[in-house]
Amino acid sequence: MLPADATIIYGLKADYPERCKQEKILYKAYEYFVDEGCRKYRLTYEDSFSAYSDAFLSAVQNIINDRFDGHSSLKTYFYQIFSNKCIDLVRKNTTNKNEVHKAAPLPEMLYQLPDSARDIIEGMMTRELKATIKAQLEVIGDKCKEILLLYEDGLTDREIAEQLSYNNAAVAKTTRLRCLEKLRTKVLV
Amino acid sequence: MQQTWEYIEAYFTQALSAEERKTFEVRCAEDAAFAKEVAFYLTARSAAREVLIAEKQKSFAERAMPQQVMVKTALIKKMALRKWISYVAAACIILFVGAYFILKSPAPQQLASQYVKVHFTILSQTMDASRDSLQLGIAAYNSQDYQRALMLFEGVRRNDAANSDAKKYAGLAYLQTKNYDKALECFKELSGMKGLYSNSGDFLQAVTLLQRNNPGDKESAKALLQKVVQENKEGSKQASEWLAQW
Repeated sequence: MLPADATIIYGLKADYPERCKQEKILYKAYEYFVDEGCRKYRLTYEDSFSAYSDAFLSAVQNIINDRFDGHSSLKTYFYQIFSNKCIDLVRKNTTNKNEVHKAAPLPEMLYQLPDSARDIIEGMMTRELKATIKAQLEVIGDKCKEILLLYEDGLTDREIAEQLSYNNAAVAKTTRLRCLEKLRTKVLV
Repeated sequence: MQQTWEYIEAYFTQALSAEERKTFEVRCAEDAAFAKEVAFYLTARSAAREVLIAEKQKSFAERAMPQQVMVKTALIKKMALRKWISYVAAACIILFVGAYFILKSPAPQQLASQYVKVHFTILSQTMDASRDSLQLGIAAYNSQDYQRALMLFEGVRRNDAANSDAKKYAGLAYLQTKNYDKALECFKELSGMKGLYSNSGDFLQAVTLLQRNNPGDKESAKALLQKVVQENKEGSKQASEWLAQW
């Protein structure tokens, strides 16, 4: 492992402000992967950029959760994840060319469901629903948006409580689920 | 409503028991109102992730602080000299280690560990099934995201008991995460499957036992390898090579 890698990894595992600082360094250091994705996998700049962002979040989550074993450099590890994301996109583009504009990209959690249930849920997850939710996230209130995004950023309820100065994890969880309910009311009612 | 979100979240964080999961899945298929809530939950999570990525990109797009740039430049300069020193040191180490390994025949444990590294670090993927859980699991496995891979493989293993690949891949993911007992459980299940064209269950159990290396594991592994060779099962060639060096 390179010394610079050790600094980044240490910072990513530190408190949230330090993590954000190191995330920025990591993100900028390998931003050129995006051009590599366009050149090597013939992706559009937008797709390659999306693969890079997705790979970045996955890599950060893996590092924080000790799933990066340090046997390779951070660059090699990050590139491997990015490369796999690019291959996924290439496969999606070639196999679902005609369907790509109909449904929203599916979150991986959906694949925990068996086929019968998955098909039903998948049919309800439209691009329109996602667009409405994204629009409502912007008007739901800063606190609610922040807590939902922190959870999506991989923070546990305990860490959210520390970050946003709630009394404990239970309070953070209740607040977070209330925000989700508030979002649902705005979107579905 | 809060209870519904907690219930949905418990399913996707694997906090429900097998029976509760089954009930949840049946409810998704039969109760349209509940399915709508699940769809909302998943779409909201997905939307929040996209907003998060967009916000991070926006904040990263700002120019790096001059101090960080200086630190980076200094690091690069230092690394140029260090690089050469480390190359020479690495070459010496490789020579010594190489000579050591050439002169000494490796123990079965080392052979098994080397075998896992060479053959199971990357699993082969097909190009035709992007929405298939197994393929997504393989992609996660190849990215060394073993927890996500396990989530996907275990999903298939639970819902399709006849799927031998799901058992094999889940076992391999457990092996990579050094959860040997769970790996053995998967490979035993695989080994017990009848009518497969090729069954690597016994061989993989032996590999796992060699890696676990508890008292008695080496002997059990040897017995399994002998069985693989005698019955000409998958892995028999490798098994006979290892037995020859035992």
